[in-house]
Amino acid sequence: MTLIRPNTAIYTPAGADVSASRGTLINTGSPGNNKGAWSTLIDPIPKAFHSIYLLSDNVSATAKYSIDIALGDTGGGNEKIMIADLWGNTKIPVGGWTIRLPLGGPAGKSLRVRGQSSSSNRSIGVQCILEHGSMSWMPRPFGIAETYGFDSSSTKCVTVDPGGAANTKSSSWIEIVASTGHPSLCWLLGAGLDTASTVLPATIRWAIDVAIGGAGSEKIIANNLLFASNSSTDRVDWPFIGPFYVPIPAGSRISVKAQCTSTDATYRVLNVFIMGVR
Amino acid sequence: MLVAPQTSKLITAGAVTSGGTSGTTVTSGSANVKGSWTTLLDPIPSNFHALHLFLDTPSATRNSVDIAIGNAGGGSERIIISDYWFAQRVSACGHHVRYPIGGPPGGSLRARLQTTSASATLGVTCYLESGSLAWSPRPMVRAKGYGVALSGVTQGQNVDPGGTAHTKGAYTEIVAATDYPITAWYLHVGLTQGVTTPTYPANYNWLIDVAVGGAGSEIVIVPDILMGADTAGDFIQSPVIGPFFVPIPAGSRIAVRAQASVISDATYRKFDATIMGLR
Repeated sequence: MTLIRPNTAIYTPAGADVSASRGTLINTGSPGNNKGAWSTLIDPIPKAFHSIYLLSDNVSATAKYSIDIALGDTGGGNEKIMIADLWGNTKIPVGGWTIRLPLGGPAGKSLRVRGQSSSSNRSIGVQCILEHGSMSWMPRPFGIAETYGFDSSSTKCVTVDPGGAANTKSSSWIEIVASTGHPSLCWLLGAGLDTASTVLPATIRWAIDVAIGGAGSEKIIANNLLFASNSSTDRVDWPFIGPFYVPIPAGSRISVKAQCTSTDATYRVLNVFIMGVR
Repeated sequence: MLVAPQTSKLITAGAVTSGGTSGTTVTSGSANVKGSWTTLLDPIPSNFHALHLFLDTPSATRNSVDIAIGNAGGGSERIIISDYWFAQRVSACGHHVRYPIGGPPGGSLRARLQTTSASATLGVTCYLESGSLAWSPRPMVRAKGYGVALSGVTQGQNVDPGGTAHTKGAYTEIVAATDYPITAWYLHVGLTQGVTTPTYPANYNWLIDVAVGGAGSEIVIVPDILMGADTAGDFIQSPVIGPFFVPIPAGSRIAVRAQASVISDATYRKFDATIMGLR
């Protein structure tokens, strides 16, 4: 006897290049720190969706990069960004991560992607998987995910130095954003190495506190979120943690502080961002 | 300022921040035998409706982790996550996954570990979401790993994309018949059997199909899930993806097949896979 549940979701891959067993290859802009052209992942989107998985594969060179995902017209044009500036820093050719965001969109549009990198003309493979069907597991799909702390002029995020004392929180809070432009109903924390790493000297771990509130009045909303890196991959191995459904009001100042196992003045330093979802 | 009313709060369980920066160290038993339970948090201060699991710095290649709620002080553990399996380069670190799993306050949150090596270690941390249920309207109670072989080994089911690049290989059975209905599930992918210190000879990408149904009658329920490995990191990324909210009836056979971008090396084109089913 089997029990069949009625609330089945359906998944549509968008951008899987089955002829090359990878995601859709996009090129970042030229010169560096500029957005590349939009590429199509799927056109048209066959059904309304209520969650999206974003997957990447091997990048073409060590670089900092960011990815935008948008809904565009059929055939392209009029792109409306739904995921803005998802940031990473990785070592060639280390790539590959996945993230699920509770974002929805309509049928009939095209799903488009573009990227920028700290160096010109880098490539990266991108795939999305769209979740349709029963909404019983995602009752409130959101519309936009935006990155706080991203600097498009350098393709970097906010520099966070845990300081010279191992395993001790830095004394001061580091501001990610002075005032959020919108409420974030959930959010994720992202981190990558500040340097274009070639050889990490050892396994390194970080614990990061996230707070909201004015300078001197920070209130921790998540403490000791862990990240880790090591001497084989030379990058933060899982660069995102979340989403956490701890809403952050519009107009909030978000700040972080960190501690680290290493006192190496180069490799202890992270770039950090908050992606707010609304 | 707009304050959303459905505010959850996060409870950190197991993070070590004094004298180190890691998860709580959990130690395995003898080779391929579960170790003893280690406490992450005692007591759990409030109900939770989602659990984020973070694993760091494994000292063994192949690992299987259990998470349980026990009595305050330990004992009478009721497993809520069994056999979270992964296989990767030693010390390569950082797994994060969010499970829409709930639990009550008052008990202890505990973890244990089995690996291919005796007395291996792994850092384990959980982040519990408590408060408003608006974002997890139906918390589940149990996650179970299917396809995890634990007797004399700690490994998944081996998937071979076959000898033709960019062409799906044969199905590998993950489980012949699920013992419970699965409401949502995750795909786990790790290093192929027989390799301890991986050195991938090339950059690999895989597109993986997950299917249900009898042999020869498989129906793909999620196609073309992208995974990658490379010559620098020497492990498969991402090692887990989900949740996919495609319910799988009790009694179902689950199978996986894949295509690979590189097939010339008959060892490294393969990988192990398991399915974590939630109910």
